[in-house]
Amino acid sequence: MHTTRRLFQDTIKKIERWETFKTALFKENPILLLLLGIWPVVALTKTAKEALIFASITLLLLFFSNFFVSLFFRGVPYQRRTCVFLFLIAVEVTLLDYFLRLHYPTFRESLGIFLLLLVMNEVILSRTQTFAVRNNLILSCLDALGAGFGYVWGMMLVGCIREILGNGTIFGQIVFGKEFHKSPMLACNLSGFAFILLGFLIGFFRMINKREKRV
Amino acid sequence: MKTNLFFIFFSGLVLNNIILMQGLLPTSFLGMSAKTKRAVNLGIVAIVLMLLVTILTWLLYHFVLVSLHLEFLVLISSVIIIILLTQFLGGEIIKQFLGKWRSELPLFTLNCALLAVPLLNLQHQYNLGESIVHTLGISFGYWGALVLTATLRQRLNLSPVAKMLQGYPIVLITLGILSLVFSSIAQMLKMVW
Repeated sequence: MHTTRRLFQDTIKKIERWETFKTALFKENPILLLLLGIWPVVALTKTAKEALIFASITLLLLFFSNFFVSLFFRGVPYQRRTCVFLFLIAVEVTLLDYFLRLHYPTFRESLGIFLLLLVMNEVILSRTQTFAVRNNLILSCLDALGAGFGYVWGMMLVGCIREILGNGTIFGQIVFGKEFHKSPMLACNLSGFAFILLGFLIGFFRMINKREKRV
Repeated sequence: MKTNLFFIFFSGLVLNNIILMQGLLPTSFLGMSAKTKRAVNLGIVAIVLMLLVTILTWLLYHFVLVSLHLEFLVLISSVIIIILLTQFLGGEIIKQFLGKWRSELPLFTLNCALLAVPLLNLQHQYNLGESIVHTLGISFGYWGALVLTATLRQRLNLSPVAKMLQGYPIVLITLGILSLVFSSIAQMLKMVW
């Protein structure tokens, strides 16, 4: 009796963990369904490589902020959460900045001030405020990974489409042949096209999500 | 590189408009631009906040952090200044400027445009006067983008929109078309200068 009960609880725990990860990845995708962290998707997705770099940095920051918040900062009162967590994220970004300056100085210079601006990415703060404060360590780490990978694929989608249409390449490899590569759609390199593309993508994924709920 | 004050102001206003050209769109912008009157007043709040953040960060950086060799604290100190201004400041001085709109200050806590202003000024190595002029340009650009989006959204409420795009998607598409217009204007001005 005891063993079956324990088995049942273990399976429930596993299902809960998997559901947390999957919900953060698809049903509550930070960009396409919750509309959090729009500015990196618009400003930093000229090429797929740039999008991948900034999205993975966001994933790293998200994981470490969720980790530290659920480990040490669960007792912070409700009114002071924003200030404390924002300060924590700023400390993390400063540490990352000086780590990169020490070991990869040319790579750090190519990122510019946008690395510092990632402090104001809404995804990180909202995940810590809504999830990591209330849940235990493993669940909040899984949630961070899910939301981070959701952010990565959302940002990579926009970056790939923009690079294919605007430059004819993907990760530097020519896709549509040399004719298109010589005369691409230059408007896709402007940030205006990113706004329009993001609007259509958000509309499309919201429609799919609503249809799933109805079924 | 031209460094006269008019060019700095104009580059902040149109050529490098912080929302429409650089794409630094905070999520709270979508909520702010729902109604025209609220958008106008919140734009004025943003102008005051950006000026205060610029002046305080410039003074702190050049008089405290550089002299103590603590340049690595620039990000943390500017974030702390933003937190202090938006979360804890509702006093008499702010009341003179903003009136009842000071209760909307916490909306600006998580605003990437607000953090970008002092960092951009430090990146260009402006002195105090130049950075104030640059900030004025950027903040009037923010105000203009906010008011333009709000007026267009009021108009969109009356027009038929496809069901897939209702809500925020059509707002983002409107912003995109505005941004394309701004970039073509910027190209024309670059050809003139």
